[in-house]
Amino acid sequence: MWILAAATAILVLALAFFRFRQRAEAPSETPRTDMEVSTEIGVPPEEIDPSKAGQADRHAGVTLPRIPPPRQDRDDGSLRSASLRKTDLPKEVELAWEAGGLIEFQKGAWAVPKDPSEYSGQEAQDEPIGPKPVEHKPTEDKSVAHKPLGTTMEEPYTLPQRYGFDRLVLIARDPNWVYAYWEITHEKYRQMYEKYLRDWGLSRPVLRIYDLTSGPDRRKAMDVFISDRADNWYINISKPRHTLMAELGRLFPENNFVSFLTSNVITLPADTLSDMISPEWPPIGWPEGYPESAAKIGISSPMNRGKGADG
Amino acid sequence: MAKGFLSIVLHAHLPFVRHTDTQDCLEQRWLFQGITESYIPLLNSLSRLAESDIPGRITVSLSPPLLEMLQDPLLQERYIRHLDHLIELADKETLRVRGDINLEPLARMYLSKFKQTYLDYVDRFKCNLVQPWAALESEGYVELITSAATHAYLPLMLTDASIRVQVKTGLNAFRRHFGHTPKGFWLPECAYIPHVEPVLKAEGVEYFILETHGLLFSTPRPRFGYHAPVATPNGLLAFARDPDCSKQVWSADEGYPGDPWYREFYRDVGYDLPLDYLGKALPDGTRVPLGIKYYRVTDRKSDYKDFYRPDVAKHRAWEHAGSFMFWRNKEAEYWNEVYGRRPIMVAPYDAELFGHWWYEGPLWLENLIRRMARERQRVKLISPSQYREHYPVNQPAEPAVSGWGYKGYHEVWLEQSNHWIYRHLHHCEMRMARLSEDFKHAKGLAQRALNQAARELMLAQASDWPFIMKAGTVYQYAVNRFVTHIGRFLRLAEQIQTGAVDPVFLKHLEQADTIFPDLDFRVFGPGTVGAASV
Repeated sequence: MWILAAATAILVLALAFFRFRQRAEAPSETPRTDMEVSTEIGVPPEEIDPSKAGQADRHAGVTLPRIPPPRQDRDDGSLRSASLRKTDLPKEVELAWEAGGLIEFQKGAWAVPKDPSEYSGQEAQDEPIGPKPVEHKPTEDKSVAHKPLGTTMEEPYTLPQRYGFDRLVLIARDPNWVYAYWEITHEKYRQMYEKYLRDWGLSRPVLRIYDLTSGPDRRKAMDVFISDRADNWYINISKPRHTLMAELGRLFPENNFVSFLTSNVITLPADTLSDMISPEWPPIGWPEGYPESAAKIGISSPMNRGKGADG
Repeated sequence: MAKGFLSIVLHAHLPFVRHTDTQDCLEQRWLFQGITESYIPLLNSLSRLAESDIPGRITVSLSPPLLEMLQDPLLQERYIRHLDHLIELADKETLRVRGDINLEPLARMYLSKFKQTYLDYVDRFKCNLVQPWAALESEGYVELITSAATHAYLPLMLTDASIRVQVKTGLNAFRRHFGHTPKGFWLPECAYIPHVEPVLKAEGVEYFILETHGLLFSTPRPRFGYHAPVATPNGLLAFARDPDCSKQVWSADEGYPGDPWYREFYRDVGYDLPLDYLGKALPDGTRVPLGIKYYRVTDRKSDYKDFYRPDVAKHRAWEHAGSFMFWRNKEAEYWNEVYGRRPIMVAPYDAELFGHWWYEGPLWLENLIRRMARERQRVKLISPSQYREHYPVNQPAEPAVSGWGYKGYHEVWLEQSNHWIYRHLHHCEMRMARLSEDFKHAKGLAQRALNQAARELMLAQASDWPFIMKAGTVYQYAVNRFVTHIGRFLRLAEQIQTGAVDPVFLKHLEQADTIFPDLDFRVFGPGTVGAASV
């Protein structure tokens, strides 16, 4: 009997020790960082559905976007040491830039994504890719069954992934949400990379939002930590009537923000009644007659009955 | 003495669906269904009112792509062929259901209706559905307005210049068809941003219509809520949609069209009968609604459908006109007392709701106008532009950015399924502005290529594509249309810049995308580059 008890005790001890080892090895849950911790609000998880990423069947003549090859995680500093060898530089830049453009292909993120291999050493193209149409015969071919547009006279079009401009555009979608999309050119990325090479591995891509509501001097409203691979982002900022702009850049240690791109200026729509009352036209019938906010109006939408919805 | 005003605004719009690469396709059927089920019945209803000289003016918005399609000879010819097939099918149907006490009278009704539609279209209207609207307007029974060139969702455009081009081109198309500037402007999807106002003002437009909260959230707070327009800083009148008017007609749950006695939209021979029997009535064997429907709504929650009874439905349309009138009287009386000023109730609807979705809609509308005139109602039917005659002074205020889509802002047109399009649209906007500046003296082939590039860009800008992508109905079609128009634009732009315009390619595009034949690319003109701070 005591043999059994001893065996059990040994087993329990061994298990406990193993557990302890495991815990000791596991990284702490919140890694310490000397950067300022900001609110991280970005693409809501439901916006990304990896199972539906780049469904090819939804695009005519479209190839699936290729997921970029696994690459080194830049946050672990390995790239930083690697970058000391000058010869590796261009390739690393290339890789990082490509990855930056490849975006997480969400449903319909691009009409016609291109093979990333086409990018290496090549500038962004304005011209649609694809062979030139072989014959132009402006006649109506009556025998041709209906196919998607552009099949009889033209090859199906593909849209370029990049247009070769540095650009950050904000769109005010509603009182709470801002949509941002951007493009960083190869030169720009390379230039910034070489300039901030030293700490690059410690930096993170950030979309910094400024509030211009109270005047022209920009006040930082929030930092949104984005993915290196994203080229668009939904930002839940919830600042109705506020005037905003943004910069896309990287946040380096000691809270050094380096801006790559500057956006346009937008104003978010109102979501409530105005507080301003005109003395000549003071409101009557308020508030019992009217709701205070859009949510209470029960905004109806002609979604279900409408043009073209009966296909 | 009237206690208030009612403005009914019908907005008729379909995307430009002229396909030269195919004879017949599902999307072209949208136009044909619209003509058979909505546009001709509405014209007939309004003509009957005009003949009996019933006072009261309704407002009809005809979108530029629709106007262009209604006047297009190719589509006119195809519509007649479509009607032939439909009459043939209706004829076959009378034989198929012969002796059926419930179905035979209905089959005969459809046969005679389609034949009448044929006579109306070919003999009475001479295949031209623009002219009869102009006639009704000149007699004062309707007020015609229009919308942006290709129904672009204006708040999601990058530059003010692009908004200006959409508005201006739309108004130019209207002028070409009707010979005058419309007094009102239909903001596509009721989507408003202040940037649209300067061009409306400059072009001589007097008013536009907002979603309810677009007016309610005006700055300063509006004195009369949504029951009176405000005068915007540019001196335009901004009216708001009356939510009660919308709900009674539009709501799927409480609205009139859901009445058990009205015709059921989704039980159509196009879905129910064998493909080989339907034959040419269907486009390429794709099942589409054909407009021969034998059943009534019965119970919206059940699949069991009873036979349609036109006599009872007709009676219901009369009663519902009375109900609508009753509630408008109540609304007018109440607010008249509260405000000490006669309220205006603006009731905008998609025109295709009347007839296509709600079969009895045109009849309801006719009954409503007739009863309002005959029964000495306390609400007067006017167009928004007539409001100024009664109240020339209106509260100055700035309306709020808004739209009539789900949640009241732009989410329907900017979300997961369609946000990818804006990067391309915005790039092409700027590229077109640049081209029109660099090549402003272009002549001959280059000029034609620039004009065509402008057409392609505008066709890509239609709000219909992101809407369909979101709704998912014909997703692939919307993506194809968008990619094709942007692709064509980019190829043309490349050819223009390299000075190598391919005349055969250009000719092909000119024959395919014929919208706005008089378009001058210089409308994108100088001052457009750098309008946005990007």
